[in-house]
Amino acid sequence: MATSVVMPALEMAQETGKIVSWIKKEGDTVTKGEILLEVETDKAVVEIEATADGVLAGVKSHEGDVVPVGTTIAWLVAPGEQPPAYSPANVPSARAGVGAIYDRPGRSQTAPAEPAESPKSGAQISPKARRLAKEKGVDLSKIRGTGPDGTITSEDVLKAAETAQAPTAAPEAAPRLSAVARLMAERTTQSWTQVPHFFLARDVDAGALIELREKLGTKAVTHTDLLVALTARVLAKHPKMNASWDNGSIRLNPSINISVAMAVQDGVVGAVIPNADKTRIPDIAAQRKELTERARSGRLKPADVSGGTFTITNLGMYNVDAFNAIIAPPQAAILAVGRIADRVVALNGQPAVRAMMTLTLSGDHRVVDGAQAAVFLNDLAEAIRAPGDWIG
Amino acid sequence: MPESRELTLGEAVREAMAEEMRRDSRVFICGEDIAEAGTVFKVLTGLVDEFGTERVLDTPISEAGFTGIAVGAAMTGMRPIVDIMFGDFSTLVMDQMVNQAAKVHYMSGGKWKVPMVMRATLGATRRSAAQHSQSLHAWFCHIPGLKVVLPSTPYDAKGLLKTAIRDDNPVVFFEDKMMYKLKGPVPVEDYTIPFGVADVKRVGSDITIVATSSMVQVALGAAKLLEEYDISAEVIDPRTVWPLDEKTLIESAKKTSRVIVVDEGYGRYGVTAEIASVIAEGAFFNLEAPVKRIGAMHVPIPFSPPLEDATVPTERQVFEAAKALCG
Repeated sequence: MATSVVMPALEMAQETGKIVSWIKKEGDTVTKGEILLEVETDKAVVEIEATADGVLAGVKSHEGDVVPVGTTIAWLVAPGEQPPAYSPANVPSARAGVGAIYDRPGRSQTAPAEPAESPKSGAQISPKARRLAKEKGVDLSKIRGTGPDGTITSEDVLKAAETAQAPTAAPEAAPRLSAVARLMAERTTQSWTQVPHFFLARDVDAGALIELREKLGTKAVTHTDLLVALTARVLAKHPKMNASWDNGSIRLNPSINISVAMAVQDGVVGAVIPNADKTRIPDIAAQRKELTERARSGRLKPADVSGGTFTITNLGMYNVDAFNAIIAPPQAAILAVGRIADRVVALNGQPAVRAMMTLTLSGDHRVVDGAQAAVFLNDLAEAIRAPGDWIG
Repeated sequence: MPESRELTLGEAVREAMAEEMRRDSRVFICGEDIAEAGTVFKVLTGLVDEFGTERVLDTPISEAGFTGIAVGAAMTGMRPIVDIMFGDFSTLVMDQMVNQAAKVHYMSGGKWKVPMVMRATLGATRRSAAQHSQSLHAWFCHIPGLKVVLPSTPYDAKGLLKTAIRDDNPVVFFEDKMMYKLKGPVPVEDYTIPFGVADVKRVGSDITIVATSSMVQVALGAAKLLEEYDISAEVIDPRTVWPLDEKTLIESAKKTSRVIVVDEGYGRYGVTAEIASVIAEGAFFNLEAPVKRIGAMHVPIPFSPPLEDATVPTERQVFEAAKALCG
């Protein structure tokens, strides 16, 4: 019996998924659990496994296609078996070529195929609209109906005809943004325009941190790993720094999950190390390493990037001394970490050279205020100065 | 400026008959309770005084009988008007109207004609229960050889009734019993209204409401409500449902692209069905939406007043339907 391969809903609000690549090809024999294809959602690239043994057949959606969740995109059939015919509702019309977004993702269905002759694939079209469209050469499939129940009326057709006749001064369409780039643009704009940011900067002596890293092995552990561990442990004392703004109220988060900002091809994502306050440094390092690799290859899973309660972003490797970071809502704060560099500092009345590092904390003023954040930052600076007190 | 005055629809009907009886001595009326009583609706009050009991002929309760008399009289040179008190009693006259009056001219190769008028009433909400409240005009529209008239104003009633009396063929003339008190201007001088010519009762551009008889008033009321929503409704009264002025209906439908048909008869296989079909055929490629029909609820008309009222199309109902069609 044929089994359908369906565009899965990987996230709560996901409406469509983009096919990144087919790992298996039409005609390949697959066993249950093997990876069939990769799908990109708003947040991550996910591998989709075969849900049954069989031969991959009737592959209908191809690399680059954006498909509503629930849509059948291929079949797994017995050797020699023909894949079932697609219902008209599931077959993309000519207009939905590569990269096109279907008009009505909400209408997608996992239900069994409708009778094949069903002519309607969407909105109703009034007889008058249909005639006018023919006369004026308007493509009805490109029109969104504004009549009762979304019926396409003559008014819609005339409007479309007018638009088509208007001189097209529009520049050539830019390539569509990737999901990561689009999401980054939306989220940072939303945060920067809606979250009242404030910033606290603090220089700290990183000598002890460097020593600790050398003790644990510079290959295995990064400064970021140590900062994740220390920050998480300090956060345990400062629950408001680990809180979230939740539609007018402050929600304290039961666990401390540190997001580590990671550069990916088209932007930045926050890969999450859950319960970082209770996780040993080598484990943090191992998790961070795996997440980094997945991020680089664009294979982060939805779970990898959700649930963070506090973000650390480190641009030290790019020789940035200090910077202000944008909070990732609903988190209340983000810590921007600059490079560790030798600087001349005053020590006991004398100039001295020390490995220094600048931390800049961005806070959401709806959740925390400057004094609360300063106390946290002070504790964190203290922890960096004497990490042994915090890490057993 | 032609002289005009306000008459009720009942007065306009009486005046039309009186004038025609004065003009043509072959015209006479027969029916139940029409002479001294002037009909139960008092429409014919006073006619017997002017024209006598030979021309205003009270009959026994015998619809089939006196309708048959009228058919024979018409065939032999008279111009009778038959008064059927309630249109519900059409059941009793069907053989005379359908198998005799409608057929004679054809079956005699045009040698005989049947210049008679059958007047009857239609319309509910008079608390007359299931056997005295029906609107059965559609039955006659189905028969080739009969003309069917549905006046909606005093002016139309008088002009159309005169045309009916002067017509050489059998005409069925339905008056809504609830409209006898409706007042409107009626010219003093003689006039007739040709059959098969619809009247645009209100000019509009967004939706056409085709309405007959008392439903014209309902449609005009709905059109007024629609004004507040910036929906301009055109109200068309076919006035005669056979012959039907298809051209005017189709032209209006083409202009507005949306149509509601309202008639107090039952919708199923009824006047609204025929008119909707004419419009769908004639204006299909100019329609934005299916033609909406509104007729009497498909039930025997209840005696209970609230239930009876619920069976008849209302302004609100037409208004809501129009709003839905216009989106």
